[in-house]
Amino acid sequence: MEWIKPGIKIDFVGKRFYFFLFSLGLIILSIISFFFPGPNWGIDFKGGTELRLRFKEQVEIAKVRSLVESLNLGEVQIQQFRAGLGGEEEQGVDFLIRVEELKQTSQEEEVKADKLITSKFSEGFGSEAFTILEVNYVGPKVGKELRERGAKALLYSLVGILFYVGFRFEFRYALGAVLALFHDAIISAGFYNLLQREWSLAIIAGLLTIIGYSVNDTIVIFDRIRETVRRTKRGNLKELINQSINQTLSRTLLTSLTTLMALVFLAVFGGGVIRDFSILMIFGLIIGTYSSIYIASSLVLLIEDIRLRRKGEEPKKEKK
Amino acid sequence: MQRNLQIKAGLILGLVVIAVLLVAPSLMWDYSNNQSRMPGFWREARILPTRAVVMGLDLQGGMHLVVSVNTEEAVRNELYQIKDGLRSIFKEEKIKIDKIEVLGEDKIQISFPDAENLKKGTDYIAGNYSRVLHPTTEGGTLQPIYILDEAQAEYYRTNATRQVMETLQSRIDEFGVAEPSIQRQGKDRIVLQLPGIKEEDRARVLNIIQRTAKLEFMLVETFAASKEALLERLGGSLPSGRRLLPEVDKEGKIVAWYLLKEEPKITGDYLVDARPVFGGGNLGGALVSFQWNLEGARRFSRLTGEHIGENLAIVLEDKVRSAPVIKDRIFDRGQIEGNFTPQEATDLAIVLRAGALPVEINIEEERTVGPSLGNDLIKRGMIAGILAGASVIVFMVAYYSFGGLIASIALILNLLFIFAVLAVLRATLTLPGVAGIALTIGMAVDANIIIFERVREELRSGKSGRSALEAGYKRSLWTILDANITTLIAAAILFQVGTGPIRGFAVTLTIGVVGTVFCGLVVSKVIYELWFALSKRAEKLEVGIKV
Repeated sequence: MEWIKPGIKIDFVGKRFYFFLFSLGLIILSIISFFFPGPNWGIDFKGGTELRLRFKEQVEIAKVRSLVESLNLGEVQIQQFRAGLGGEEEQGVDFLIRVEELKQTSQEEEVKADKLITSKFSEGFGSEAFTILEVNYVGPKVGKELRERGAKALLYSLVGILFYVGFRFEFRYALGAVLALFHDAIISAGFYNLLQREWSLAIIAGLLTIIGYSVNDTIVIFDRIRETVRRTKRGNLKELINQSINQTLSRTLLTSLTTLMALVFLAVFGGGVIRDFSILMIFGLIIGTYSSIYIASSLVLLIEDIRLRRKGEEPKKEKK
Repeated sequence: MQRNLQIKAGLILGLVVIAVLLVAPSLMWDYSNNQSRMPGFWREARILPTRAVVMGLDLQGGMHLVVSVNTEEAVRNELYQIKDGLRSIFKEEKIKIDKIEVLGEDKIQISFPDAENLKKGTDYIAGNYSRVLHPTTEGGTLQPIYILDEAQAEYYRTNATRQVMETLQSRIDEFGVAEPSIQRQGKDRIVLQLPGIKEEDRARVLNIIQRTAKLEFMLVETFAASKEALLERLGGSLPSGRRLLPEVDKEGKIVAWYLLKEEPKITGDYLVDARPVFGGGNLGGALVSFQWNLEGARRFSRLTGEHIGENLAIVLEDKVRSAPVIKDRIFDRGQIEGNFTPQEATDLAIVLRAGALPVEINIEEERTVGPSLGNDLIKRGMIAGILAGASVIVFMVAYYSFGGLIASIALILNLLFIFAVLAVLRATLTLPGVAGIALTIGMAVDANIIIFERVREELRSGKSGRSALEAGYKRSLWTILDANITTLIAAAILFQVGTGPIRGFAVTLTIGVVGTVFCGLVVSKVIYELWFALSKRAEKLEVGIKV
């Protein structure tokens, strides 16, 4: 089987300015998405209390909500899930309850939000009606730290990749690759904001993985460009780049496809954060593949043009 | 067959056997009871691995807690100790002072009556306290202000964190948790990982960890029903060397206020043992009986002997629990009553045995997962992984026929190696880690795709099957290495910066990437060579890639 026929010649680089414009538009939209509608920070980043409870029998979500709201714990979010995988012994319904406040202070005692909620439910439904599956509590200090650490992680990995690619290739390639990765990370984040799904630590991990895999694609192409440039000695860099992208196109798309298969199954069967992670990754994979093909190499060409203009030479006639 | 190939094939076969041995205990592990189901001979063989892959708290259930230590409180406490120490030393040395007090977070001010005492006092501090207190230019001539040495303060901070860690460790041990992990994070954080905590124990564990368990025995001067009434009796202000503390009942309601003498006082530091006693006692319910060590018994018997007829308050965590009349001299044992439930008495005994926390701690983060949720997640992860693996294999075989089959074998071996390495490193498998493995399945064939696409190009350029294969592998080597090293950079940073579950993801991603390179480049090549060596139709097969 061979989907991408040999000898394929698509002019990816020729229309690069249209794609630059397209990507720039996406980046601007993504930046806007951080203000409107804004990221949906989960408790990992903004602090709060999260409880996952399993009720043995179906209960009214309205009653659950009114009981939680009667406690005055700030903003309340309630989600309902089918319990487990729906096996015989796993009947019932799961609730994910998130509140903004961590605790209430009355007189001498401090009572944590999770305790307030569970004791309220014990009154309302009976203490035998539910079990606690999960409790997450993140204090305000930790939330801020986790946010800072996440941003640092993204920055450091971009710098690390810049150095490695700069060391293995040339600096212009490194710069092209890192700019393309930045493009992937920010657009994926923007997409995630538009979906209004929740940001958790797993999402930071997802962005890092997108970066890791997109650079993977880009490097395979760069590697081919380098090889072609060395072998042909003469020739237009633009054409060599185009030729290299075409030669590796089959591999780029096939690897993305197999990875996509794994991600789709993760998105369908993985629950909670894994689903969020997979949805982000699916989009990131598509953007990463796009940028590897259309953006990264074209950026190298752009950087080269700028360099040559500075030296006062006529661009596009660069001979290597 | 070439000798070289035999060695390579032998080595890989050896690795596969070792990997199977390493993975076997995990496959046979009974995760709900956390014990091995391996047959007896296996366990008796001793050299065979028996430990399973460690499941993270998010998969097996348990508590992950991050507590912060109030280290500034420790510094303040030490500063007050220094102040009290100086006061009594000046008394001994016959140096007169008007006043000595703590200012703010890190300063002590001393007021001397005249220049002579000032000189004696400052000389004494310069001579004996030079490493702890530094003079400042602040304050008046006769009222110098000293500042606490920063290195010394830092020592108090780290020391407090260390003490808290030790206390928490012994409390957890006393409570009984299998394989707990207590680690320091940064200067003032402690991370506790407590696997297998049941839902009903969660509240108890939180209580046992958080409470200071500060126990004091102090003589009662007077008491009243309300704070106002007591203060009125005292003329509105608290006399020095006295403390005003509430008495609380079982529900935490304040029933009385006590004026207590700071000296003589005995603290819970001298306890050697504490046990819950169910039934008995004047207040009903359970109580906690304790035993003093030698020094504690000496002090306690002197205190009780000298103050027969007075009330002795038992103060737990700054609340008066009871204040019985001392009827007789008491030597080495005593009891704390408070109408406790059996569980409260048990927990109180645990924290008293383990000792008090030197400073307060605060829970900054809690992640508790019940075991049933973990089971759900493992099942879901496995389903996703199996489906991902099956679909990738079907695709590869359809697309590359024979080559795809070899890539699939490499993929399966890769998964085997990932689990074997997880087992041998005792690395923790977390939920994001499972996602990492599923993702690796998708990515694992990448090396083979790069190689096969290259081989196809070589075939088209007219090379024979064998030499096209050689060229394909050779020319793909650096491409594959470069592409995967950059992924490793991202994974390494993820490991450095991430916590708990995310680290698990970084670990499986790293192992997966290394495994991918090894299986894609080395294992699949050896399988091919073996095929060439064994099959007579090899050249005809055109390495399984149709042009």
